[in-house]
Amino acid sequence: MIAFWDVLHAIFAMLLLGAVTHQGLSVWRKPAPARAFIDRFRAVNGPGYANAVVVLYLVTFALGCYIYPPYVLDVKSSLFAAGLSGQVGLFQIKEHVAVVALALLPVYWHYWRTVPLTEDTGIRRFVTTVIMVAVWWNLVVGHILNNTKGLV
Amino acid sequence: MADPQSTLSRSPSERLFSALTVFSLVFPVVYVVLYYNELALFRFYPLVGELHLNIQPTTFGPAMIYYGWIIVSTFAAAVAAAVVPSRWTAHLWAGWSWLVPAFATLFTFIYETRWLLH
Repeated sequence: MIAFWDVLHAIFAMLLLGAVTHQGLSVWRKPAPARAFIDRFRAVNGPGYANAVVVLYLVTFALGCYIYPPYVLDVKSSLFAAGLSGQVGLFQIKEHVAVVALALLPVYWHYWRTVPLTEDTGIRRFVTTVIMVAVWWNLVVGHILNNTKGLV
Repeated sequence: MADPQSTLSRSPSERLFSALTVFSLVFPVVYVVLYYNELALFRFYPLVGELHLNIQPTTFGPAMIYYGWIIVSTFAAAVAAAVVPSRWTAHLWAGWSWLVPAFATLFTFIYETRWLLH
């Protein structure tokens, strides 16, 4: 059953990654016709992603918290036994990054949903970028840990 | 307690911004303090599926204090957001709202290198 929750956690993480990457790249884009692929990727309605990012983040985080105890019991102890303290450290960072980005969500939501888009552009850019980088870090580390057995 | 006069004189949007900014500033600071000092309100023992306020014998298996850090940080940040007057944050540079969490993340990166260099 834990595999089901693990996969569900990964699916929500992928949805979150897509949403926050579209938004995170759009916030750095200057208005111009979108011709190349990367411009079309970034030419999205940023505010329209804010609620989705918050909800997806909360669901992904909650699922992560739910599957955390089996990780501590089964995976972490196995990593220790195999002398893979580097992987343990990566996951430790992942858990802190997840929490700090969680703390950013209120102010992130505020800048996207209540502040006019013409104001505080710089703050909106950096708040969104921090969350985007956090989501990317956590997804990559999650994949590395999930595939540790095949990687070492 | 918040100064009623200053609270009334500010728009709902300003008060909301103030509360959300205080929350995002206080949460990571409290979290890092708790985590660095390994302070725990409670511990969860996944092997037996029990919460305890005190450290239990090793027969209970490994203890998790992560949930306790999150709950205490959330509570502290929510209380701070509720009681800090918005006039205190009116002149606060908005960039702190992302810089403080970013520094908190950087701190955890540096601290956790103890695992990577082990």
